[in-house]
Amino acid sequence: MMAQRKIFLVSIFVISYLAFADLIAPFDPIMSLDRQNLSSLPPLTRVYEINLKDGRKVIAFEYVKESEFVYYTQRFSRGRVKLEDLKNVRSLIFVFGTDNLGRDVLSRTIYGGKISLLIGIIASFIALFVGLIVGVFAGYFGGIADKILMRITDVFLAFPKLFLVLVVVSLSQRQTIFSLILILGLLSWMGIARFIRAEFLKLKNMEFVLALESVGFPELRIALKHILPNAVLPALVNIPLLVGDLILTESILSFIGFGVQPPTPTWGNMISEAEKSLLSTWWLPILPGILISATVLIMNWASEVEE
Amino acid sequence: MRVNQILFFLVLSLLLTLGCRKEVKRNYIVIGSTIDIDSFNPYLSTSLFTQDILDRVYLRLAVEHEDYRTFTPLLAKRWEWSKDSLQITFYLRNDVYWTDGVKTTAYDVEYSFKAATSPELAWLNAEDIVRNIEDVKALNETTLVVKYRYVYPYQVMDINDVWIIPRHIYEKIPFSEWRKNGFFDHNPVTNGPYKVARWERGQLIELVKNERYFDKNYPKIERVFVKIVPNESNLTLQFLNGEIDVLPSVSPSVAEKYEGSKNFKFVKYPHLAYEYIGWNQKNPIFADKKVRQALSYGINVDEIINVILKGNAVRSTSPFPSTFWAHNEKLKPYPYDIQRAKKLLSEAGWRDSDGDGILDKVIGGKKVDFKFTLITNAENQTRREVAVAIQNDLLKLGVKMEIQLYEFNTFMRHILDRNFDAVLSGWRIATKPDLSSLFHTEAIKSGHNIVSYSNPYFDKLNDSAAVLNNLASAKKIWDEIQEILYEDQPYTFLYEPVRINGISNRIKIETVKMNSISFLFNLHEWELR
Amino acid sequence: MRVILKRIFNAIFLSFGISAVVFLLLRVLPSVSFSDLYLNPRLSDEAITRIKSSYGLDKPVLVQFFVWIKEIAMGNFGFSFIYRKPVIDCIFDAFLSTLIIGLPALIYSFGLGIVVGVQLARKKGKAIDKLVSSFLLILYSIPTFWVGIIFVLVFSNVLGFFPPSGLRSFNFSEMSFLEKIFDLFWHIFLPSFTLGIAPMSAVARFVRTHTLKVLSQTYVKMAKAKGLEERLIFYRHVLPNALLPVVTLFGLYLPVFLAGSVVVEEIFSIPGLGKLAIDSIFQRDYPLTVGITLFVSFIVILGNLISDILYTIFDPRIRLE
Repeated sequence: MMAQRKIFLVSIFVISYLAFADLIAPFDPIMSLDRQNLSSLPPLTRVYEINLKDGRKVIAFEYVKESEFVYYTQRFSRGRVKLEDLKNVRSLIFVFGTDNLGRDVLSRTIYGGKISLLIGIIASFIALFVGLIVGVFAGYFGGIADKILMRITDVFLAFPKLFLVLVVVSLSQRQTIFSLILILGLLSWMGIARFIRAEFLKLKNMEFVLALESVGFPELRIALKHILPNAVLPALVNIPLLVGDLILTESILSFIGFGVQPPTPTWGNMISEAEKSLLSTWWLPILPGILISATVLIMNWASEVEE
Repeated sequence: MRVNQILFFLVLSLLLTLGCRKEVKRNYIVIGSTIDIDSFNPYLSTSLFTQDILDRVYLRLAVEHEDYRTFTPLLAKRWEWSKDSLQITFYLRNDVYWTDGVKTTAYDVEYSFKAATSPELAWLNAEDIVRNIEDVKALNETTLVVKYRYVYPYQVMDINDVWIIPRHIYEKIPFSEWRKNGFFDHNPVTNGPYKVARWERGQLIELVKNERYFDKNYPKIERVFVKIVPNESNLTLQFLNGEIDVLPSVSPSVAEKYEGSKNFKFVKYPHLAYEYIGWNQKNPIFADKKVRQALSYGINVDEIINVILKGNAVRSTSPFPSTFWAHNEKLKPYPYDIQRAKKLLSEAGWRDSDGDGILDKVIGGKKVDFKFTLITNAENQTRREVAVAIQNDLLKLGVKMEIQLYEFNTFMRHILDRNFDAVLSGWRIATKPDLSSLFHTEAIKSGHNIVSYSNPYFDKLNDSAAVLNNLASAKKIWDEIQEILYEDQPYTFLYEPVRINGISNRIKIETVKMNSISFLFNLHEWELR
Repeated sequence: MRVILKRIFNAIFLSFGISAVVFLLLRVLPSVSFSDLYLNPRLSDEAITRIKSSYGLDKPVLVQFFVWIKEIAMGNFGFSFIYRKPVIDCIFDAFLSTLIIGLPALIYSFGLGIVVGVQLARKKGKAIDKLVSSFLLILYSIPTFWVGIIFVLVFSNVLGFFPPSGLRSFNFSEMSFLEKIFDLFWHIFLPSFTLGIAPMSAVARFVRTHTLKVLSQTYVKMAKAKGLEERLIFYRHVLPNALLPVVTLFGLYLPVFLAGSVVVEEIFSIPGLGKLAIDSIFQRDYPLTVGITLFVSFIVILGNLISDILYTIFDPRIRLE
């Protein structure tokens, strides 16, 4: 029971994150305010946004008000505006720095988390669904059907995953998040299928099932109504673990161009892209890295069964 | 407890021994690379890096210089032109030996020419040589006669492209078998200043001084290692740490960050290459010249160079890089001008009629939004970022561009099938000016005219310029051709990247020459401090 | 015994089937082989066709398939385009490098994983248990390429304890036998350690859970009630039962160590199977890709089989079907 309560808690948390992610991001995760001046700023950098009355914005590292002008310094230049044109000056702070294109890492991470979680969750449910069908069929029918289905499972397990992805990449015209979710789901149903089948075989010989059978309940009904729920629950507990794994897998796929396409961030593609610029912009992977670890931790905590 | 203590001391002493490993005096240098070479058989190599290395162990007839027009003697002491210029006689050195003791003669060159032009071998660069050179004949050990089919400006360059290989070794295996035979990769027989001591695939190559090299003063550095580390971060770390002395292709951000270090320097020089966006003119959106011009005005290339490449690039205006002799200097890059871009777009009929922020136009009775997909290859981080910057810039014009990354081979397939709207890519240019394969109408079907550009006037000019023997008058036509391309904008020419190489201060920097021909151009002359 | 033989036969058949599928897929895949040829704008299509035909790629798929079968029968498993030698030789060389890294990683991850897992179970609920358990989870959730790069940065770049890449020193051939051994261990330490980290934490957590499960079972409580010494109960009765399921994990993780890890091999510059596989896929070296698929899928299936067999050995109640 405890586990279900935890999963419930985590679900609430995740859903509210998904709903409010866009609202809590302080900056635009896709487009920079000023590419040139905000590019590759280390964490905790403060800059000033000088708003003018005609609606123009100037991003400056420093500024001083002197007599009737405001003097400001930018990355490659200096400039001044008349004091009378000035509307206000806003101070911006980039807590986790900015990337090469001047986008705020914090906002990108918040926004990217939404995409990552969605991908992980939907793909796990696809995996659960496929695994369930295969597992139930194999467990219920047994015999030849079982053998064939289990061989197919073996083939999928032993098939080189990256190659499978490449095949799909070459065959599909364009990758969307949906095709990515689909392939992630199709790559990870095998464990669940095996698990469900094993549970099914175990339950089939349980006393309550035998009892029901002897009373004359139709077999299919027993399977769907009495065995299935008992088999699915333990499988469901593994879902959070799978979500964490899939978020990590996406980072590897984005390496070969099959991940979520730019400019949309995900935790996965953020940290795998950051690896290439480790020596110049070391701060890029920190936040997404921490959050991936935290997610996996929470997901594990949720799926841990207390005795 | 006692076991724990023993364990503790064991670990401690292990760490100490590891920490104190004595540094042996290094009389060698280490060159780092993320890729290995393809083969020691020069006719099977495809990558530039392989050529860089092979040029240190094989001698050519002459040394080609940075301007791509000057040649100085190497294996050939001197050469003479016939009166009609259809024939060059090369006089070879008499004191060059292969590493197995056999003399390098004109017969080797004659045989090499046969290999280079053999259809069974299908060497990558054979096309020009087959087309232009009629025959290569050795008169005796040191005299070589090269007969050309016609007179043209690049006669020495073409014969110099032929790699000279030891006939007595390569003869053992017929041309048709070469691609399948690893024989040439074991103990390659060479005649350059260096010889191959070992090659551990994917790990390292060791080059050592060739004792038989004709000039006993060289090489100055007697041992050179090429260390292969596929992971770029690890490779760069080793360079920063001093374990690697030469690092080809440093990323601009790393170079910016570690500029001014005491232990190494960065050498920068223009690369004979350019990056572009190709607009697929089969797509009705890009068929209009005005639209292509508008897009060129609407992309802030200067900012891309400043932000993404940290200033390490030059704006590109034509398919000939600015350091190349045929380049038209009068052309100025398209300035970033949103107003002009918007005006051109509206002249071309693109307006935001439904107020959704995206331009639209009625094409063939249907209202079409200005939306398209730009493809590029996933492995190239710089291109990824450039694509995003372009996306942002174009959105300001009301143009919606999506990005699609592909793994390299899939990317190539899309390009070759002309299956894309716009492509972000780059070309490395050949050292002879000829644009027919990129923009000629005939190259649409079977060539590299991937954007299906067609302009009969361009075709005519290009055909006449490519065969012109007088480079000065050819230059005039090339200038005009570039003006046509500048006006038509089949590509938006973005920038010419600057190559940045890192080099350790252990090496005397004044002895080092790196240029667009090779980053190891004069490796044998390098000296240690 | 007969069952085992049958399963091995099955494994061979299955991996052969998988490679046949890969073989056919590669031929219909709409991508380019020898793509670097196409980068040269001066190369005519005719020349490219000539190069391709010299590799036999112009023949009908079915003919190519039979050529491949013939190559297998001859023991070559085809001919690699990029390495210009029989596929079997390429795989053998790479497999050696993979083993050098993989075996130590296998030993330490299971050894250390079991020890840590058991100790955690004994200290269940205490601060140390919670701390180490979460630490293990964090280790598990950091992508391997980050672990690798950080190790290089810390242990090799800053501290200078270990070499950052490669399998041997430059002067390996001039060393004495003992030095060679030392040099080898010195080089494989970081990659092995990196490779084993995620499996190690998985094993530890797995062992912890199962030990706790066994501890809560009635017969253990019985034994305690009887007044048996706690240490004795733990090592005699609890441990053997708790470690039994680890065997399945062993089978599952075998391919991770023996089929090569792309990431670890790339970071530490180890010419192993994983790197070979990815290079062959990206460079479209068809024969090599198919050969590696055959080999790796065989290892995966074998891993499953081994875990099944081990299970029957340790737990006589279960039979191989």
